[in-house]
Amino acid sequence: MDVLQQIQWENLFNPQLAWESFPFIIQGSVYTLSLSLVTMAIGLILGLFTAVARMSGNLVFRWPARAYISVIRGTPLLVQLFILYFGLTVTGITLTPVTAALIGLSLNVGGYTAETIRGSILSIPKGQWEAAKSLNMTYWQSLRRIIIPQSVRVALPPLANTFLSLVKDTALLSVITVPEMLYQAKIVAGRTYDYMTVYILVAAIYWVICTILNIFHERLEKRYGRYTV
Amino acid sequence: MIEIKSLHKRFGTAEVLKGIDLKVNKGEVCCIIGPSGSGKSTLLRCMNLLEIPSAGELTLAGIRLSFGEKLPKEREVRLLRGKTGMVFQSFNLFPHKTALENVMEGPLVVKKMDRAPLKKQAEALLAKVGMADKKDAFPSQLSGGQQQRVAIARALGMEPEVLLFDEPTSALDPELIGEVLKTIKALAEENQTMVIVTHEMGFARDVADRVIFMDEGRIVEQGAPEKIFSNPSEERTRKFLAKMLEKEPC
Repeated sequence: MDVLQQIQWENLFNPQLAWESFPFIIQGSVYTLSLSLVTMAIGLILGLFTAVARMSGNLVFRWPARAYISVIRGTPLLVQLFILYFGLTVTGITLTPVTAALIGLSLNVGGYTAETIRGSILSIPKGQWEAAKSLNMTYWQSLRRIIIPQSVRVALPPLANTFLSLVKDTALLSVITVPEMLYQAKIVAGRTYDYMTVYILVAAIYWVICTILNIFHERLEKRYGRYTV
Repeated sequence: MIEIKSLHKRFGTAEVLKGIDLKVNKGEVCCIIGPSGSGKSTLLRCMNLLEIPSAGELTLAGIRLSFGEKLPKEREVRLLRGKTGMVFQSFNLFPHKTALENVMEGPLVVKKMDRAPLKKQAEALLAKVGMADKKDAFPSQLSGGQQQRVAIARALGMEPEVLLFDEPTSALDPELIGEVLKTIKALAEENQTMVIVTHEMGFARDVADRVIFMDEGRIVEQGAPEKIFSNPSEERTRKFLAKMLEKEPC
């Protein structure tokens, strides 16, 4: 009972500080959002080509694809970022924080989405490939016109998950000094020692961003589900 | 139009086609009949190279390919395949495209035709198979028979020299079979060259110029439908037909 009485609830959240530091922290959202969008786009392209390579009959394509997926999925993103930002310097290559972030996140997204995309392509019945072939389409024409439009519907929920994870994973970039939201929040926290207020504030901002993105996702899913009455 | 010489097809150790020799003339309608597993679908799929034969020779619309150790080049495969059209047992319409878009897709993507004239052509083809009023429907909104008729229009859209049918009515409810057979018959009357794998004996008898009976990877006998159905020379044909006609109360 005493313990409960000793808790100083009034220190939990300082609205005044939250209000004042909000503009500074929200500046970081420019990095959070733009890095998420750009690396998702690059990662998707990377993922598509990796998925196709992974399904190839040719070992020269299949093996590197497998190795890439395995390394990306088998090591922590934070370690991948450390290797790019801190590790690479020994070779004389010095990446700026943003460049390291772009490369690291894109590679990471590519590794994860490759498997999602591969699974969704494999989920399309063989008859669709054969119908496309019988119309004399090439492999890439079939993929682009027939298979991918149908697999998008299958891939969309897991891809949306990947994207939401990515948005939140950008917080890791604070440790390689990319001035995204958590980095900004840490500055405020370090100055005021009010960690709770600042981190609750930044958590709330992440939550709002993810909720909005989820609405977009639901709309997209409806659009691609249109032909199944 | 089609000439096949000692064609073999192996899947692993199983030999599905054990040396097929066959000629199909221009304008001819050939029906291939036979028990399941006799290799008739495989033979059909070898004709447009959905299956690459293991050995032998195939000439189609003047394009000749030989098969053996080396796989044929992609360019040659597509050259030959471009002369054919195929209708599948399970329709395989593109579910994300309307009936009209299904028919337009091949010429649009492969032949790079302009949309406006292509749309007219596709609408005419849908009218031909009696599906003009459903052109904006998605496959999921159509019955099996309607889907198959759209699939026939789609195959015709590429203006094939030879039209291949792989059991086109086997996935249909009995009351829907008639409309599809009627459509195919209309094509026969236009002298479209066709090879049809079918279990519809009545239809084969009615529409075929020649009936080919296959069993265990070989052509057992072939000839005019009257000959095959009324007076087959092989015992195996006789047995198969007796079994089939037992099932078919007509």
